[in-house]
Amino acid sequence: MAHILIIDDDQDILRLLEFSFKRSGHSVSISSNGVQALTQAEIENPDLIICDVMMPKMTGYDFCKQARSKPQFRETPIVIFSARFQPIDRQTALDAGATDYLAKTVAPDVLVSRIEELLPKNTAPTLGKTVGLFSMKGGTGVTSLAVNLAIALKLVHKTSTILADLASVGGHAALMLGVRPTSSLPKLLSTDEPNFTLEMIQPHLVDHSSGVQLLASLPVFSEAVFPKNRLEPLIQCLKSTFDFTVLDVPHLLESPSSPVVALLDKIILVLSPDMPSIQSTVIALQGLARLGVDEHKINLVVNQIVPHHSLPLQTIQKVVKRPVLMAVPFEPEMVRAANSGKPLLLANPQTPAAAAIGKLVDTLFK
Amino acid sequence: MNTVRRTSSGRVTADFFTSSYRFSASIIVYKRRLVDVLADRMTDYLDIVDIYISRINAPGDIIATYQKGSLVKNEIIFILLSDESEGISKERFYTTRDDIPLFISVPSFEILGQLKWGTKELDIKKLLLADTQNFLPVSEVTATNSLMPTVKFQGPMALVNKTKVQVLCGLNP
Repeated sequence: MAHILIIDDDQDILRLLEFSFKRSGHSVSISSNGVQALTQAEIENPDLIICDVMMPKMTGYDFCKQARSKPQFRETPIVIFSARFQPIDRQTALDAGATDYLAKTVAPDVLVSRIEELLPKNTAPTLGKTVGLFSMKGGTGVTSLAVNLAIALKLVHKTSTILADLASVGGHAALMLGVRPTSSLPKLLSTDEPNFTLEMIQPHLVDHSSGVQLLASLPVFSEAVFPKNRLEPLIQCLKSTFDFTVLDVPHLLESPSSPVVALLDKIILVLSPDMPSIQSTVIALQGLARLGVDEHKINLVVNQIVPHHSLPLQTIQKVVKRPVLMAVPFEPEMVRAANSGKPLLLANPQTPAAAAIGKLVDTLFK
Repeated sequence: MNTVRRTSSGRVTADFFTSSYRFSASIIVYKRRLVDVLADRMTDYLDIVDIYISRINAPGDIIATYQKGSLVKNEIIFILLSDESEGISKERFYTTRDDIPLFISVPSFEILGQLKWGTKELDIKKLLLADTQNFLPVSEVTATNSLMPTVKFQGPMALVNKTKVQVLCGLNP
């Protein structure tokens, strides 16, 4: 079963297609114009989009172009379905980024079977990829990157994605996602069962509208000790349950984070382009080496958190003696996104910083 | 219902061609066929809705859209339909006829297609003058722009404005 978004200003055609696809076992949502459909698609993240050409406010071609400019829809099949049935119309649709073009002369059952051929097969990467982001120095934007990375993974791969905020208290992932958690990671870790199951974890998760599930940090101060021996089995369970687990790891390589590092498939070491952060990164790299972490797992990401006075990338690479995987440019909208509880990737997906995060996902799990 | 093109609202979408423009638009025909709406002598205009305008030299690009408009029937050179039945009057639909190949020259276009014709010898004058309908139904159509031959339009049926015909050539059945 797939989720299909159908966009057409003709209510009769919308009803006919909705009926046809629902009868074939798919879930369907409809929209009568392209502008509204863009917002709807961002929220629903459909597996496939069927779009008319001749619509008020925005033509199907313009919808295609705008959708393709968002990382979320780069791979989503978009089928133009139009009464304009000339070969030149097909070419115009393909030039605009459509996956295929079907004329409205086609019978509904033929349309359904053609669409089903285009639905993405299970192209998801191997289950249980875990990526942890951390920095030895605070204030480098680790949580912002973790939140946006989780959303990018969800949007691009369309598979189950969890973001776990491993800060024992006062983590900001929930705030940045604009959600109010009713439970937290420490509460989950305090359960008595030796092993974790999805049924145990589920009540402690918060659903975000992007589809990412959040395991939040404790939102209030507590002196309770973080049971570090429980973190390892929890992450094992997350790995076996979710396609992607993104961990926002506290910035110290001390317990309880250190056992977690060994379980990660990818480590993103976040640094800002200034000397203190570079120095901390050198120390973090030494620490990771001492923990026996495979250096191929480690990826450096420079997050430019201030607009000016940044050290050049070449200087950073020379000092840390490693290549930088990605540089996320300064983005003033990042602060607004944090303030509004709507992550940059959803609020301003066309910004260079959002594009860099999208590219990071491609580079990490290509 | 065979296709999703014509829905219960009685709305038909077609491409209307003048010598310089392609208008993709809908027309409310209710239970009639488009050819019968065109033959309505009560009005010289054709009310169209949801109009998407393209220039002939770039017929895939939509340069403007409007919600409603009127086409002067006599200024239409031909109409391209996605469904053959829309081009044949209900009164004639069940008549047995043979297809004969046609070449028609109209301003800016040359049209190749098939004409539904009976068993008698083709009488071109009669075809162009005597019929009550101003638009000639031609099936399996390819319309080529005579100045830009790479610009071609194809469809199962076209309605060609008889008053715009410069030359019509055909073969006997």
